[in-house]
Amino acid sequence: MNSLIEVSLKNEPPVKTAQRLETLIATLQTESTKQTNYEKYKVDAALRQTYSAIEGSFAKDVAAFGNTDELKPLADFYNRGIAQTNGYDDTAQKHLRHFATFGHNALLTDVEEGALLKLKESAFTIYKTNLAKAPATAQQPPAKTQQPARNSRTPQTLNKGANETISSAVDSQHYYNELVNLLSFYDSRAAFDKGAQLLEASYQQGSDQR
Amino acid sequence: MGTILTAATPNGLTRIALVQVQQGKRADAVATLRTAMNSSKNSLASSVFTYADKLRQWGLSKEALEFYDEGLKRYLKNPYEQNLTLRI
Repeated sequence: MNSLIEVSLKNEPPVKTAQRLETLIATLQTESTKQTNYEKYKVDAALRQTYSAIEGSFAKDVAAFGNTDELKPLADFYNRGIAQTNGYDDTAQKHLRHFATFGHNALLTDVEEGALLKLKESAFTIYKTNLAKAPATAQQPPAKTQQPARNSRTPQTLNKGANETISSAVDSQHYYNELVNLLSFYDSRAAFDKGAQLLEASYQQGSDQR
Repeated sequence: MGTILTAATPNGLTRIALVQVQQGKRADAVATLRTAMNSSKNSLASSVFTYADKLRQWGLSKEALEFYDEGLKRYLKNPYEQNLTLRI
């Protein structure tokens, strides 16, 4: 795969190489969904190989040799990919994290930021939607049960708020994790003002929910 | 007992292609390599990738890219029985 990337970068602009590799990934993903067991394993192995080639050698070559004229269309290509990826299911998360890793290794900060922002927004949308559904069930008084005193054999309860269901507590944890990831990205780039704005905005969003 | 180099075998044709590259006959070398590839009984993508790798090592990167593309096409026709490895 590294040889293909090397040859492709020598003869074509990086955006063409990216298109070639991302098309290969899309085709392999389609094939993977059609199959089970050993066949699926084979295609998944090829998928992992392609992902690591893009995030590894391709991204590093782009960072080392790419010039401004070539990087702009490449960043646009990946930003379009980020915009087209919706939801917070496993596939969408995998895509967005792939874009973020590529952006990080290729030093395309806007791609990395875009992917992390999209992850955070998707996680928040899921959290908000599920929280809106929750009150109907959550506001019912909990059934009175004889809760035994906690000892080494009683399971620890999930740390959730009074009006939260287990599902919304998990969603809020996802949203929190994405927020922390994005904040770490801003911290690593010394973009503290952006980090502060993000925290303020997320606090406002949280206040609106309560 | 030395190895007999027969021009008709894929290995022999590959050596001829190398000589053609050294003579500066790029198009002839690619054609010879293609003949070697077609005469090989192995129709798997990894076989095409091997020839593409040879072209890359000889500095014919544009021609190598065409071979890699062909290898990818062959691979995608049946990805379940092949590997996406460029080297054997």
